This record gives sequence, structure tokens and C-alpha cells, in this order.
Amino acid sequence: MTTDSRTSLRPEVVDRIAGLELKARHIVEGYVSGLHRSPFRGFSVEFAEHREYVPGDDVRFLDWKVFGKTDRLYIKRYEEETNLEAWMVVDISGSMAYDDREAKLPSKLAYSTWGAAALAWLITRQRDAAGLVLFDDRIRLTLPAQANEAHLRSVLRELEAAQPSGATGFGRALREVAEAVRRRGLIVLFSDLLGDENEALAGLKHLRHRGHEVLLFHVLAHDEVTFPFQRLTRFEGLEGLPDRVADPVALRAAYLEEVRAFRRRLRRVCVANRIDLVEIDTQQELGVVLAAYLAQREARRGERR
Amino acid sequence: MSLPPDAFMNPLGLLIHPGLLWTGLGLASVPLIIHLLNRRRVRRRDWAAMTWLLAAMKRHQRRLRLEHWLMLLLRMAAVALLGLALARPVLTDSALAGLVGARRSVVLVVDTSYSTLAKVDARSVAERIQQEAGRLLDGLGPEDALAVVVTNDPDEADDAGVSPFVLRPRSVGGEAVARARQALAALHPRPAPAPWPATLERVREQLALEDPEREIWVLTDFQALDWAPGATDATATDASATDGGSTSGRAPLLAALEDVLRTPARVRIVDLGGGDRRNLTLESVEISGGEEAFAGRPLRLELVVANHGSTAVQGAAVEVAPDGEASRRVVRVPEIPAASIAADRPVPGRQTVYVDLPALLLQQSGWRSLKASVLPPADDPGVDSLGLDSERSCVLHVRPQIRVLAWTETSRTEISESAEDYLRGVFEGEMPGGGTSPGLAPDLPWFFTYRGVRAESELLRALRERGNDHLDLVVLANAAPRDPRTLVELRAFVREGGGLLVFLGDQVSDPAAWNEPFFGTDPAERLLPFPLGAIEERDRTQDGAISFDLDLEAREGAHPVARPFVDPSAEGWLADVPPRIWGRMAFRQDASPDGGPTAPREPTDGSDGPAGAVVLRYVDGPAAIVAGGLGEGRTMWVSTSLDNGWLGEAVFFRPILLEEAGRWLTASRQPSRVLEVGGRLRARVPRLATQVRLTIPGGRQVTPTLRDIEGNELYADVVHDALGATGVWTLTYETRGADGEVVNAQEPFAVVPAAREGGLEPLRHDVLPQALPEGLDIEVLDAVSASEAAVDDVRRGEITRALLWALLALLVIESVLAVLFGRARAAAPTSDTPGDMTAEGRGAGEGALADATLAGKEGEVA
Repeated sequence: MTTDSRTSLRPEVVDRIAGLELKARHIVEGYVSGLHRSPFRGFSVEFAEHREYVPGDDVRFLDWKVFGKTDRLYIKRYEEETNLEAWMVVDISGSMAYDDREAKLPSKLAYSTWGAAALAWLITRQRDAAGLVLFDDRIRLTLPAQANEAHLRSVLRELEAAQPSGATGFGRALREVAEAVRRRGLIVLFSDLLGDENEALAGLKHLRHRGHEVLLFHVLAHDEVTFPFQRLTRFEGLEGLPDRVADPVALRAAYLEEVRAFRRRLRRVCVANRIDLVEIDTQQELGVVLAAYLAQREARRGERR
Repeated sequence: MSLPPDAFMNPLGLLIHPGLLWTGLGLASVPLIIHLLNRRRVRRRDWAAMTWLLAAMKRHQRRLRLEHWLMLLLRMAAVALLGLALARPVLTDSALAGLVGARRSVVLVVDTSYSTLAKVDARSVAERIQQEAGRLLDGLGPEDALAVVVTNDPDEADDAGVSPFVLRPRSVGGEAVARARQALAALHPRPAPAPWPATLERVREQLALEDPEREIWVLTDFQALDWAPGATDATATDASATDGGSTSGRAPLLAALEDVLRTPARVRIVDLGGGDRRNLTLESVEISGGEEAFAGRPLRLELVVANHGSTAVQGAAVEVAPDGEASRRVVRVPEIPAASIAADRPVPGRQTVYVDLPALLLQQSGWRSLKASVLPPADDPGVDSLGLDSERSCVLHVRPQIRVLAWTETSRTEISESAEDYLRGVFEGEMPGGGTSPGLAPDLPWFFTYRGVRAESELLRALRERGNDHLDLVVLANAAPRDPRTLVELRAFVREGGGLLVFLGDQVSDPAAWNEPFFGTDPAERLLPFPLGAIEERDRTQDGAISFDLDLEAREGAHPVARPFVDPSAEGWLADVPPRIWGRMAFRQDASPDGGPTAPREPTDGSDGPAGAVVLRYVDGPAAIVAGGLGEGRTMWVSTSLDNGWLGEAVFFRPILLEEAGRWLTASRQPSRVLEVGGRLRARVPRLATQVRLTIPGGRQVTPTLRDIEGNELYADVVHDALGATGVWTLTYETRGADGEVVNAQEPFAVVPAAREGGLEPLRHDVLPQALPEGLDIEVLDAVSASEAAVDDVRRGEITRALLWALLALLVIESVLAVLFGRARAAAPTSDTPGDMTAEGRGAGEGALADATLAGKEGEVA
């Protein structure tokens, strides 16, 4: 993966996810017909397509007419569906600027904007509306959700222009996001969650409380999850945190234990609040990560049917 | 063990390699230095996940710091421990030392010098030494190391006993002790003194590095003469003995002892000489007045008897017995004073005794040997505890009459007595004008026989016949040979050992007549040591005429021939009748054409040589009488005439000069025939001699070494080192006479014990330790048992092995701790490596995703 971040829509990522969809797992409030289940009955209930029966499918949806004609089993697919309003919420705080220079990996921010751009493209392509929120300790930019190419270009432009700044303030920022997004939709959050842990977890809960489906991409630099340093190092804190001289070799185990503990707590909160959590380190190939996630999500959606 | 002065270098005083301890301690700082250097080289890095880092640090800071310092200390301790182990420390505490397998390393030094033959209370010192040595060996365990060194080589076949010998090299175990016992039982004292410095050097060779506990036990009679701080080496040469014998300014014994003690080692000297050590020594037997013995003439011997006891001795006697004679001369010795102590060294009381040997005992010329001995008083034989030094052999060279051949010419000046008259007067004992020579006794043969010739041809013939008709001295008076053959024969005669005495005179007025044949251009052929100048004459008939006077000022270091004239006692009689010299051909002092001597050398030691020496000078400067040499012979040149042509009244001067010159020019040039045990025998034999053998007292024969003498084709040196037995050694060889017949020659040498060895007085026990630097572990004891308890107490053990085990344990602990503290992960990252973390991260992500998905499903179900 190249580190060139001038173009947020990475072709290699797009290639990976082009054949996939991002559909809401939860009920979303669309304003036009779409791919997603609507909370409103009788609205936009129509036949969608036939699909060959596979064992495990609900026999109530077998098309007996077709069976009578062709002697083959097809499932009729028709649902109440609406369009999706998905918000790309990207953390642009100072800590997201960290990059792994030795390994020439992109910064967490670059990685996050690429991911947000790819998902925005995917959502727009499936005629859903994509919005964008950039925040640090407060919301710095909001682009309302729209489902057209021109809006997508605006989203991409803003993502490309995003610069890291300020300290992370999850409490205020996520509350503002929850307020800004009035209709229940999909919140795709890209953040390293470095900051006040309680605020961050409370913010996630708040989003869920407002009925949004929350998809959290927890982006960490490869160094941050491996702590590979050997020599005595002065670690200079970002976002106003103090500097410390430490022997990385001696401290590695303790540090990694802290990372693991945080992740455990995060997983626990995510599980409790039905938040999709994707833990990423910047060494991973973004296209692969997104494709894997989307495919997995798709598979689960199929199971649920 | 007390600390030596170099305690700074060896702070424990018990390190075999103290330098390595300091090296180790220095290296121990390396981990600390690396640590400090690393702290200076801190990398800077922006870090986003500071929250986790701070949390980790907060939780583990104290533990990490503790671990860090613990590891640092462990590493420093490991390096320091390695240095300590390499320094090979030794534990002195007997209990602890026992834990690390302490053992003793003993070097037993046995004094086998001849003074240990001394009997005290019916038992010899040597027997006491044997007994104490056995006691010491009894105390050794099977793990202890033992070496035995004796002061005198016991093997009579190889060594005279003047060198120390390693009787048993260092070895460990009961077998070593048993063999040492056998070897010690077979020991017997040798007739030589103990060379202590050399012995201690051999002892040092036996001190193995791996022995921490080194004990040196010296069993000796502790003679003050050997052990006093200022003692000289008993085997050193006289020259070195006079200045202390040490080039470093310290006595060799002290230096050697200090070297041994600093190895380090403990030295215990056991004084087994007994209490009352009285001894009489016959120190010297010489011809009185330094005279030579002549056949048929009586001789007076001078004997010096020394008393090493603390009380005066009365009633002792000396006995002189010429070899091969039944008669003995016994002379009572006056009271011999008691020994005294001066500067911690005993000074024996001495008494000189004269023994006259009648002419009857010395009828034959040649070498004679005799044995002299001191007899203790019959009523108190205990005053002489050591027999060997009470006897002394002596060798005399009894000379035949000196045969003089003279060729004289009479001066042109009117004279009263011819040169031949004077020569006959002195050499035949008939003084000119009647009377006899002062030393001549009517019933004794005179020293000289005389024969005069009237022509050079007669001289030449006589020189050519010197092989058959023995000739000692040739005198030329106012007659210069002109026939080159005469010159050749003269040179050969002198080179073989003959003497040449030349008086000048007016018959040879041209100095060239002397200079060309006798001075010449080749210094190796020179019979005349300095060139002669022109004739100078003064008219004695004029009133107030002043003669050429000789400088007869009394002075030290005069030439032997000049001594009667410059001796203070001669001043009176010679001043009454001074020699009046009216003509001379003085020796030139300008540069010689061939770069020879420019000025006659003043004699300082009575010696002369080919370069020449001045015997007497004129008052106005030039040399009057000079001496030179060629080959084995000597020459003497007198710048004036023998008769009264140039030399006026000289009533005493002329005969004394002739007699002294005659004896000196023909005196034996053989080295001393009295040699100390351990010394070197050196004699001169004809180069063509065969069957050269040395017969040792007891009859055994050895072949001595023959060495050519540079520039001497007639003679060779016979050398034999380390004379080992007292008594008369006989050198025998064969030569061919002029007619080809074999001539057997026998020359005796007297080998005598070192007189100093008879001084049995012990040194006070505190003197030697006090003379050494403080801190060295040396004691003088009365018996081995006096220190046996101490030996058990100070058993020491080297703890190197224990330290190495500790070092190994330390390294293991360090490794284990390093693993525990996460050092191992630093060396080989496992689950935290980026690759692994990727997998883990992905796994965690997938797991979380699965969980979240499942949660969503559950929620939906709910």
C-alpha cells in the first residue's frame, strides 16, 4: 500500500470492495426506496429477485409457480426496503497523525480517510446517502448525507484535505455527531480512540442509544500494537501528554498488556452495545480488511434471513 | 599473614596475581559505562499511545527500575568476580580454607655445608638437621606438595658441592614424602660453604604458581657469617665480596630472601647449630715475608689460627708436616683471644704462629706440599667442634739456584771495578773488595750461580744451549748484541720465561744500536719497552759537579724492585750513601714512531707487561729504570752503567738492585697454588704437554680443560672449576725433552676449606627479620616443632574454583532473570513482533468482529 494520501479513494481498495455492498444490519430510516429494511410497514414492499434454493432457506419463500414450471426450487426475494443514510465519522485529532516512518506505513489518519472514502464510494454506488463528519475534540466538518456523485466528490475532497489537529474529545464530539444525525442510520467511525477512554466508550454507547448502527474501525499504528523499539527512547507525547524516557525492551510486555487490556474493554463494550468492531493496524492492507469485513457482514446478513 | 608494603597492589595480601584483581575491578565498571553511554544516546520519538505507555510505566516503574539495577549489579559483579577468580585469592582462615581444600606446599631447604659437621654435645649439626627434617615431613598430608633443596650438590661425581641442588623437585603425595625421606637419609655435608643466594634462587624455582600456601623451611646452623644482613656471598669472588657482592647495592642474601618472600611465601629458618659453638680454624699458612723457597735454604712459615669461641683458648698448638717426611714440627700457640662481635658479625680472635722449616727439609728443588693443622688443648678438646677447617694443606715451589749468564764490557772511563766484578760479587756472593753478601751464610747455598762470557759469540752459544744447561737470567752490561741471531735467541729466551737485565754504558754510544734491534717497530717483538735517548754525561771531576740523582721519595705502589729504595725504612741509609750517576742514556718520552707508549707508565700495582712500567725515575723527570715483558719472561733496563763508568758511588744501591732485579726477573709466574674449595684451578703447562690429568685427594683422576692463550704459542692454560675436596690436588702431564725423551711433570695444588666457614657463631634471631622490609613473613626458630601449631592454624586454600562456580551461578541467575524480566524477548521477539501482531491484531479484530456480530444477532433475537 502506498503512502501517497493525495487521493483518498484508493484504486486498490476500490478494486477489492467493488463487488460488495454495505447494507444496514439494523433498521434504518430511509427517505427513498432502497436496499435496507425499513421500520415502516407497507412501504416499498415489492418483489426483488429469484434466487436458487439452498438448504436452510425458509420454505415459506419458495416460489411454487416456478417450481411447477421448471421443477426447480427458487426462493422469492422481496422485502420492505429503504435507502441507507451512512455517516463517515473520522477522528482527525493529533494522535491520528502518528505514522510508522521506519516501515513507511501510512499515518492512522491517512488510513482512516482512505477507508472512509472507499466506504463512501461504495454507499453512493449502491444509491445510499453518505455523509461525512470530521472531529477532534469537537466536530470540525459536517457534510450532510446525500446519494449522488457530486456529493461523493465533495466527501472525497474533504477527506483529502483533512489535517490532524487538536486533542481528542470523544464525549463532546460524539454527542454532537449523535445530535447532527437525526435519522437512524449507519455511523462508521474511524478512530484510534486514544484519549479519555471513558468518554470514548460513553460516546459509542450514546450513538447506539440514539438507535444508530455503529461500525467502529479502531485504527492503530503498527508500532502501537507491537512496540518494537530496542533502544532507550524519549517518547514525546502528542496531544499535550508528557514526555517520558523509557527502555522499550524492559517496558514492552507491560505496554502490550495495557494495549490488550484496552482492547478487551473495548470489545466488551462493543459486544454489549452490538457495535461492529474492526481492529486494524496500519500494516494491514486496507482493501483486504474492508473486503473481509464486508463479505463477513454480508454472510451474516444472509444467515439472518 | 601480615600485609606486605605493596598492600595497595595486593589489598588482601593473599592474591597470587594481584594485578588481575585490579583489572577485573576495572572491567566491572564496563557495564556501568555502557549503561551511562546508552543513557546519553536516547532516541526521540513522537508517540501517540502515550496513555498506555504512561499506564505501563506507572504500573511497572518501580519493578523496572529494580530489575534494571539488579541486572546491572549482576553483570558488574560477574565481571568483578571473574577478575577476582583470575587473581586467584587465597583464604587464610583455617576453617574456611578447609572447605575449599587447602593444602600446604613446602620447600625444605637443607644446609649441607661443611660447617654442619660441627659437633655439639656429641651430635653433629647435620644429624640434628636430619632429625628435624624428618619431623617436618611427618607433618605433611597426602595432598601437600613437597620439594627439597640442598645447599651443596651431594653428587661428588658431577659437582664439587659448591652449587645448590634440587634433591627432590616439587611433587605431591605420600610417595613424594617417602622419596624425600630416602634422599635425605643419604645426604652428607660437603666440604664447601653454603651458597645461600644461589640456593634461594633454586628455591624460588620450586614455588609453583598454583600453590597458595607456600612454606619454605630452612634447616641450617644459621652461621652469622652467612646470614648477617651484610654477609657476602660465600662463593662470590674476592672483588665482589669486598663491595658487598651486590650490584643492586643490597647484599645478595637479603635480595634473594626478599625475592622469595615476595612470591609470596612464608620463610621459617630453623637454627639447629646448638648452643655452645667453639671452633678453632687454621686460617692461613704462608711463607713469612712473601719470600720464595729456595732449595737447601731454611724457610719460615707464618700460620694464623682463629678462635671462633666466646672464650680465649690456651694450650693449643700447630703442627706442620711436610709430605713424605716423617718429622713434624709442632709449635705451641700463645693464648688465642676470644671472638668478638662487630656490627652483628662475629670477628674471631686471631693468633699468628711462626714455624721454621730447616734447610734439611727443603734440599730438593721443585714442588713440595705440606700439611698444617691446629691441635686443640688436650684438656679441652671441645674448643674445636669442627675438624675440617683445622687442617690446611700448603704447596711450596722450592726453587733451585738462579742461573745467571752475563756479557759485560768495561766502560771507557777509568774504573775501579769492572761490571763483572760487581756481578760476581752479588751473584756469587763475593763482594768486590772482599766481604760477602748480606744474605749469604757460609753453610747455606746462595740464591744464584753466575757465569760470565766475554764475547757475543759465547753469549749466542750459551743461549742456544739453554735447553740442556738451565738458564734463568741474562745480563748485558755495556754490551749490545749486533748479530741478529743473538737477538732471535734472546727473544725466544725471554718469551719462554727467562729474565733479561740490561745496563747501558759508553761502549754503545748510539741509542739506535739499542733502539733498532730491541725496540723496533713491532710491539709484539719488543724487548725494550721504551726507546732510548742520547747519551748525557757530566764531569764528576769538576768541583761542584751535580750528578743525575734518582727520585727516591717514599711512595705507595712502587715497583717491587724499587721498594727497598723507596721504602721509608731505607731512607736513612740510602741518604747517607746516595747513588751518584754521571752518565745516562735516559728513556725518551716523546711519541714513538709506531704509536707506542709516549710516556713510561707509573707502576701502581707492582705489575708490568709488554707496554712497560717505570721502576725508578730521575729527579729531573726521565725514567731511570724501566721494566717490560715478552711472552712469559720479563726484562729490565737500567739507563746507566753497571760499573762506575757512569754510576759512581753506590755501595748499597748497586748490589741491592742486582739482587732484587735478579729475583724479580726470574720469579715464578705461576698462579697461586692455594685454592679454596669451590674455586677454580688454573695453571700454565707447555702447549705440547700430553696426558694432562688432575689427581683428586683420594686418588681419583679427572681431565681438566686445556685452553690456548692468545698470542702465546708455548704455553696453554689448564682450568678446572669447582674444586670439591680439600687436600692436595696434583696436576700431572708429559712433555718431550730436547733429546726427545719423555719428561713427567707433577705440580701440586693445595685446596683448602673456606676459612669463613669455620665461624660457627649464630646470628641473633631477630637481626635478619629486622633487616628485611616490614610485612614479609619470616621467622627464625629453634625447632620445627616451635611452629607446628602455627602451621595448622595458617593452612590456607585457594578459592579460585569456588569463585568460578559462583561466577557460573551468577551467569545462570542473570540469564534466568533476563528471561523473566523480558530481556529474552528483546533478543528474540515472539508474540509481539510486528508480523505476529498483525496476525494477532487480525485475529483480535476478527474475534471482536465475531463477537460484535454475534452480539448484534443476539440483540436482534432478543
